[in-house]
Amino acid sequence: MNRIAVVGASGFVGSALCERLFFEGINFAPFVRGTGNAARVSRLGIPIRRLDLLDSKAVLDALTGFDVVVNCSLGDKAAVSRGFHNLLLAMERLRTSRLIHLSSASIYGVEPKPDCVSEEGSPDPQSNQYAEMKLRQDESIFRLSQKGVATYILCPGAIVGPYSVFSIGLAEILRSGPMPLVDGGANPSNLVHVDNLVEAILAAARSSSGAGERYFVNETRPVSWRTVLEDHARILGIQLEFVQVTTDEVRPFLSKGPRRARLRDQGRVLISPEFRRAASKLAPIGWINDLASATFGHLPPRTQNRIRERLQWPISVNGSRPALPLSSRFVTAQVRAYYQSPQKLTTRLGWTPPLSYEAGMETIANWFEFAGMVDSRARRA
Amino acid sequence: MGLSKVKPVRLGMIGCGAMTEIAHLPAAIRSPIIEVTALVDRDLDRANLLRRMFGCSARTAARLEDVVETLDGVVIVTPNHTHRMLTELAFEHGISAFVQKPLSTTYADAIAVCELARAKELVLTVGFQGRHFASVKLMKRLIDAGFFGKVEGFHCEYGVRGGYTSVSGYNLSREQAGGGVLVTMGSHYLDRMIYWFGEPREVRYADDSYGGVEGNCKGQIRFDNGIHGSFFFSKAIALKNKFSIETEHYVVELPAMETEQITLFPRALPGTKMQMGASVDGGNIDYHRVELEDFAHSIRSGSSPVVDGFEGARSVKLSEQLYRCRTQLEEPWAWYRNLAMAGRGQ
Repeated sequence: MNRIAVVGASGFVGSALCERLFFEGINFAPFVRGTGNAARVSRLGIPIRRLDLLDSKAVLDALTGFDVVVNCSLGDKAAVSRGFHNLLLAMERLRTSRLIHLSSASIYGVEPKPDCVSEEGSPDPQSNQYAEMKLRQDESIFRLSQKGVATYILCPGAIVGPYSVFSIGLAEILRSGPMPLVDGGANPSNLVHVDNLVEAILAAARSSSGAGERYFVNETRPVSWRTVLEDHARILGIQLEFVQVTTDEVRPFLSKGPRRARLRDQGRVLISPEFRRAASKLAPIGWINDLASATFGHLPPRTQNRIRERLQWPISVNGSRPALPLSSRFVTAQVRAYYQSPQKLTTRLGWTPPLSYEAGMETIANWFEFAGMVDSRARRA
Repeated sequence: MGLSKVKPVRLGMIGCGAMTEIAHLPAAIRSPIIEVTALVDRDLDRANLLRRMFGCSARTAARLEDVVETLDGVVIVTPNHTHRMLTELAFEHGISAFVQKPLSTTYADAIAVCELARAKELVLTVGFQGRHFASVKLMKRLIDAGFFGKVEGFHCEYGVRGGYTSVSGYNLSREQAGGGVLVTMGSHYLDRMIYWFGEPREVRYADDSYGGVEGNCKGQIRFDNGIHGSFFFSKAIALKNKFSIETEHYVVELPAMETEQITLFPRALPGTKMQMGASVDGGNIDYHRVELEDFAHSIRSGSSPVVDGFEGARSVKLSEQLYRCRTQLEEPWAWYRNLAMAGRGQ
């Protein structure tokens, strides 16, 4: 295989890809923006290169000499727009032969239309900012492919596996109490194991055909949410209690856009002790904080109390049990009714997932145990 | 006479990276007994940036030698492999040193600078901020007083996903950092173990390095007094971040960043939780300032700092002991690693 540049190597997928390339002895170079999150790559003892995608010249210099670029980068708005543009521009100028880009199944929306079962269906991000951004990136990549760069767009759903934030979050919500199960948990989960996604990247890197296309990455058969939730509960040693809910009940919680914090919410953040304590470590803000504290301290106690009352969070008194977490992503994701088959990935790029669903669950179980998320005695039992 | 009535102690920040920016420099500026008179960094632009950011009047320089006449002490917050060289340079000019942990990348280096400090009668202190926490000191007093009864064992874990990005990137290099998570994060907790439990005798250790700096490590330590415990440090996983100590009368818990209180679960009263605090003002103490003021007091009075060089060197020695007996950490989920290892006959 030709020389591979992994851009965004310190992220979850980038790290998993680097580990696989390292252990398979494949020639690659990891690029990271910051070093703070690079623990899984820095353990490998290979040079890690720092790359700011916003610096177009640095991008051009960094990617010179690579045949394949895998883009796993994320980041802030500037990085995913201007930085991404710099990346594509560099590839175009360098005539890099291949770009493999991680997009997302979310481009079909939080409640997709029936034609989402095929990669040829019409994406519709439904005002979700992340999905809109991913779709814009996809469109830029299609344009790049017309300029002679072989491009491969991979669209996974939520990614599970060792170190997965999704897997950790799922464990946390299962531990936290009764779990809402939407429409009996019959909908397909569309979750993909990170090692199978990495295999899809390698398949795209190896393939001599299939460029200029979008590919779903998923389990080779639909796995229902009920199965996923029950299996996670089992490996965590949790007694799972489902609460049946319907799609109609969850629909109001489908996030189709970011909720902006209201002015009052922002005020609460500003006066919170946590914020002030952190901000006061910056000397100028520390002085302002000290001044504000001193001024507040000179106010009459009644006025102080009034100000405090106005800015307190509302005190909510729950009924007999806490409200169900219907707005959680682990609940809203259950509304997606369609399975996005990876058939095209298999037939065009020759992808064969190394892990079955069951084998993937075993890796998650092993990792949960390593990370102290499961009592090993409970697991043995 | 209180220190605030006399001239402030003149400190220079050596290394103007992320830690200096977010912790040491603002803390020093807030202190009435410290005057920051120099900001030194090989990257002079970075030193000038911090001077502008904090509006301080310190001189900036690329070399310590250029500002020695303005200093009583230096706060060395640079990549770990430079600690010995910079400390010796400061001592050559009669300047005391605060070295952000670890004191050095090897125990031999640590002892060398300790001996030099002693010979020159200069202050050498190590930046183990946690040693100043009221909760950590209280734990030590209670253990020593036998309040908990016999200490039977402990488990310590500290892990965060990611962490701060160092400006220099030294933390990606074993040569520059002296190790991985065991040194960069774990040394804080190794230091506490030594402070509370004494001299380590036997150790077992495994990490996930393949030539680079480890991101996960696990180990066990038995101390001279028979106390035995385990630890887990990670830069890739968010862990529970606390000490749990099993004792005859209590299970004692101390969250890693809890500065004021310890939590007790009495064995005689199952289901009961007690909290015990040491300080009267309820926290909100800037412990970076506390440790810098401890250094300043020592320079002024000649008294020993809370963590002197020899004390700070003990965790360097323990890290070396642990690395010496290193084994490969098992990763049973990493089938591709295991296939590769089997293919290489390992």
